[in-house]
Amino acid sequence: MTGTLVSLAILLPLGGSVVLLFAGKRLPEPLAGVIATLTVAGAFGCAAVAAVDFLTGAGEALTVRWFDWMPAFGVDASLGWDRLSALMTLVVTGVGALIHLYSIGYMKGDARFGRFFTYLNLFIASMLILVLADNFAMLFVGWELVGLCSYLLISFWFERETAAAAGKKAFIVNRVGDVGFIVALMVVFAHFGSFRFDTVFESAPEVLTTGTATAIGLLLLVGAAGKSAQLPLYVWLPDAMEGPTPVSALIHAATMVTAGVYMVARTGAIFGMAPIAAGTVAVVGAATALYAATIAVAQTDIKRVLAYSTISQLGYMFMGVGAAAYVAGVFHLMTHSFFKALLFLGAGSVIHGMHGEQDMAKMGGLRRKMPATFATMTIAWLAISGIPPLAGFWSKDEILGTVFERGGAWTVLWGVGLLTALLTAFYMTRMMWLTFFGEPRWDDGVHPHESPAVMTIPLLALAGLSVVGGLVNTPFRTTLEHFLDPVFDAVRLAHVPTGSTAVALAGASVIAALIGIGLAALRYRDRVPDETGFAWRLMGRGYYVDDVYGQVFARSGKLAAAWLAFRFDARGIDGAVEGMGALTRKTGGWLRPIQTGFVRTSAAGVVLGAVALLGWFLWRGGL
Amino acid sequence: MNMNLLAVAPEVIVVVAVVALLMIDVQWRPGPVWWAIAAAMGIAGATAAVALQWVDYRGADAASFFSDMIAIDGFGAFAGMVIFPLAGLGLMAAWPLIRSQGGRGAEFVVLVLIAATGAHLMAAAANLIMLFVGLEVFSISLYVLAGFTRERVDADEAALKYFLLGAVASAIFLYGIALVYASTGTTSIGGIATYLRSTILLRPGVLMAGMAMLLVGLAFKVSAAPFHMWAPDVYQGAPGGVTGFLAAGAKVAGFAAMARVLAVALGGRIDDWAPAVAVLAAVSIVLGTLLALVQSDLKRMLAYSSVAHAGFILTALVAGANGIPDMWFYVATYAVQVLAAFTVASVVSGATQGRAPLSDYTGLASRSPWLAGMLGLLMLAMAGIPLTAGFVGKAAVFRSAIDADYLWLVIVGVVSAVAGLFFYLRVIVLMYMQAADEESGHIPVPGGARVVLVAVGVLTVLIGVVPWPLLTWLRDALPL
Amino acid sequence: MSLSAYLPIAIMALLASGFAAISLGLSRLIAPHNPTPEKLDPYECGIVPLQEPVQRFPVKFYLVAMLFVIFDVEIVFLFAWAVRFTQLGWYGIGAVGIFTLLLIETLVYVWKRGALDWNVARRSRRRPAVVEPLTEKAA
Repeated sequence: MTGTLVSLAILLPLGGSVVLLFAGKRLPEPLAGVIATLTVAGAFGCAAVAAVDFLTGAGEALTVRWFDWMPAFGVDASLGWDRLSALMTLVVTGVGALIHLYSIGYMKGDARFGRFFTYLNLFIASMLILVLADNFAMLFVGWELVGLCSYLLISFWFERETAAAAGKKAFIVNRVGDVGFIVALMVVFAHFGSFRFDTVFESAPEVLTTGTATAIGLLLLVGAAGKSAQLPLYVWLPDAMEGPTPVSALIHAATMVTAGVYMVARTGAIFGMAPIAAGTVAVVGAATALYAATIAVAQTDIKRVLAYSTISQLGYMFMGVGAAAYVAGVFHLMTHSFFKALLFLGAGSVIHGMHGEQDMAKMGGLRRKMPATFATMTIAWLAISGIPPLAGFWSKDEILGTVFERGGAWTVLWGVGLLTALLTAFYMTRMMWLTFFGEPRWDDGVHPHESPAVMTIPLLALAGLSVVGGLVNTPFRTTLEHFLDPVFDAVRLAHVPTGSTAVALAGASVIAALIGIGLAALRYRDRVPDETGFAWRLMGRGYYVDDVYGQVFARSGKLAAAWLAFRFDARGIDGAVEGMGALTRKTGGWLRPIQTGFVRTSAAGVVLGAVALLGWFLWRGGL
Repeated sequence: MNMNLLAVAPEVIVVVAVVALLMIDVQWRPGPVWWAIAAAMGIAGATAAVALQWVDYRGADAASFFSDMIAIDGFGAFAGMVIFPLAGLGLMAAWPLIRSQGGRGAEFVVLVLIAATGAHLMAAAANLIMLFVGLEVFSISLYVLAGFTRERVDADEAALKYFLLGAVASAIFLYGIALVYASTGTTSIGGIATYLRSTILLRPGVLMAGMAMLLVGLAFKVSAAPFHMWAPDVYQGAPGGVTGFLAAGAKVAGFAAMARVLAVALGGRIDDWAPAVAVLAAVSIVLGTLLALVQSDLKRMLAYSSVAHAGFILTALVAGANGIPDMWFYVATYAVQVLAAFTVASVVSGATQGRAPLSDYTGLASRSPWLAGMLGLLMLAMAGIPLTAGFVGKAAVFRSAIDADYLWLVIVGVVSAVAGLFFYLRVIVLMYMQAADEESGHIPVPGGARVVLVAVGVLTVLIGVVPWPLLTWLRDALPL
Repeated sequence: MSLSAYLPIAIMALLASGFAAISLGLSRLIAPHNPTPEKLDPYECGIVPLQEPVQRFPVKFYLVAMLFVIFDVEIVFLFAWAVRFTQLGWYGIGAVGIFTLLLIETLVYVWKRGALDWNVARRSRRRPAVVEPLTEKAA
């Protein structure tokens, strides 16, 4: 029964996307969206019913076998239904359903309305395959499908050159991460002879040495960093907002970027054996958190603020899972998906109301024109800033507390996290003030208006979740921790601080948040300050990392090895990608003169190869 | 002499069909319908015969007949079950080309049938001489097919190049047979294996040289680097309708022969040849991928990609006989994919045309969503995207290599596969994300090509999602 | 493996190539060498050459020559059968019978297609259907 429900959770959106693929054009506009929304809502319902057993404490983890896929690899097409995947499924389908609903309003009148929901449904189904996989091969299938869907959705408006380029960039940078991931899978298989999670995790302590575990962990980190937009592979995410806003919400909140965090949490058994790898995860996370926060401070495009904010928050999650605070990491993943989805959808609502304007310098004073959007965005703003008792406070505080509790060098990471919290509060307040407060700075002819109900209802729902979502795991009631306990049974979890330490740490983060809010409120209260100085420009351009990537990889091909073989219509892709494209074209270009097309050249190739082979064999023969 | 007519039944049936077709054609000139009937009967009969071989002789019942010349075993039977239907698909895809050749069309049909016979003979041979005969029958038919249309000079060029270089490779291969014979005293594949197992060669130099030359000859046929240079020119020059069968058939027959020679005859010497094969594999994968990246012609790109695929298939062979089922999986699925991909090329760029510039494919999705969808699927399958047969194939050959302790080769393969995705994806981007030229209109798809594409598309997805039946089957596709 | 067994062959190869090299090199060194443009012309009979020295043959010649070689070579198989005629018995007769039938079939085909007709023009008048479709688009 439960197994059927779990299967249905995947099959519903998958079926929806198939139906829409063939019938999407013929269905009248809202109907396609309604079907898509219903399938995802249905998936949520299935998952919720299936998860009831877990809530009552009676449920056991179970495996739903579909069919033998590649038994020689120990791989079935089968789903693993445990508490972690249940939680992830609920978050993905829940937030996903709300985003679907919102999209009906947002995409109204788009020429490819049906196609959009086809992709959106497929995206949800892929993400569900990823989180419900019970072996690395299925995980990989989901992993790749999510990458493919993000590519399709980011470049959905491919008529715009920037959108097409952003899609390619996302795909390519993800592939770089995937190399690490696949190689990790190969090493895992070479050592365990199986891809199954239970086999691998149970026998990990006997099979793996610390060195191997570290290698696997670091390779997995490369993959996770690509998918979850961590340093240095984050460059695709800010561009990913070229897609329609609901897509950004979906990518940033419920799906895609959370995959890396989920994967690290899932493979906790391996990271537990490799302190160096786990530490690297945490350091990468902390560095990313601070780095992205400083960039977010100087953005003028409302969606770019949110994009860098996502990268920063993902850094928190990495810091958490790196510190073995898996529950805290997953907890923040959950709350973040609520308020970040809300922020993106709210931003979408603003953009919708402003006729497509995304520059905050041309907004201001919108709170009266868009009361519902303003109210819900306010909740999200306070939640992400870490104001109790909203959702963001509890999860962020738990990560910071756990990191602090580990002591030693981890205290530095805690400091970085706290500074990031301050910056987060600052740039979010800046965004709110520039958008909703102050005098209108609208362009002529822009008449802001509130969005239709189909768009504001998801906002209200997400706002509710952002308020209460944090209460599932407070220091007073650790419901989530108990819930996830069986999953992380075998893994040594880091300690969560208690007593006066906990109160002091919580106080510190609240104070940091208040300072951030206060500074920003003072600065932006009644004017738009000039932010064109050198430091602002530096941060606004993301420290010119994209440009540097481009220069480094394009100019000095020697820096990257020949395996960086990417040529992908390099024109139109900026930064790193163009560099790699140029590099590879060059490599291919060097090889090209060999292919003269003359028979004599080909014959020479044959002869040379033959001589080489003869040499080898005769040498083996002991000549 | 143990004669078993079933052993030669596929060949006999095809040859009877060929003789009948030629005689009827030259006397009455009956027209394309009758060519199709003769070809269909020959192919159906031969397929039935190999299926019967498969049912009766796979596994423990395998044996060789006619003075140890031809084997009936799972290996040869499976090869036949791939090759003969492949010839059928090839003819269907090439039908517009065949009809455009007027009275000569019958010869085209005959050549494809004879090539299929030769290919099956290569796979089923139990003796190196027999294998060589099959190789020549197969190759010479292909040389002619490559230059079949006489209206274009570049097709002649392709055929001549293919012939000259192929002749060199054949000569080297024959010399290899001679040296192996000199060293072991037999040309029987089973005999060589027995001799090498039971005898310690004090002076293996001659054998070694023979092995090297056999490997060169076969590596040429499967277009593994650095013996690949003919492939792009030939694939690009040959008429669109021919190229698919040319590429697919050469892979199937070449790898069948290679597996038999290396894994069976020289199986005892695996430690000598496996490293060489691994290096060939790595060089092919890397070179094929890198060169495919810079191509601006679909057929040429597919040629380089086929070099890379040859490398992936070689990856399975480093595991020796253990890798044969995985090799077959990859070869069989890739062969139909490449046939279908070239079929799309022949539909879009013209059945008699050689070149297929990528600009022909810009905005194909709007001109023919159907063709674009099929080509897109094939590109994804060749790139090894999960849920296509291509992914399972790559996973299978990598597993073989891991089992044989060639992790480095697997890593080279994985990295190249990731890099390779870009040129496959480039085609998809061109088709779906760029606007077509104003004047180019809708593209009609001939019936034969339609059948081929649907069949291959269904197979690719089906095997990709449920590969296990085929993988189980292939456990029996082992050589004698 | 030690190559000592092949030493004589190596010496022989060395001697052979050495002889060729030495005699060619010596004649080049010793012989008087006064080239003039006329001397370098292909024909030294005072006429400026109009075309490359290589003769052009009718392509038909190659075709017939090739067919001759093919049928000629097949005789080798009959020879092998003939010397072991009694031992091979009925099996041999059957095999060679089939082989010969295939040969005859080929001959018939080649003949009927007109490959043995020397004069294309005359043939085309007689049976236009055979020649016409070879290179043109029909269907």
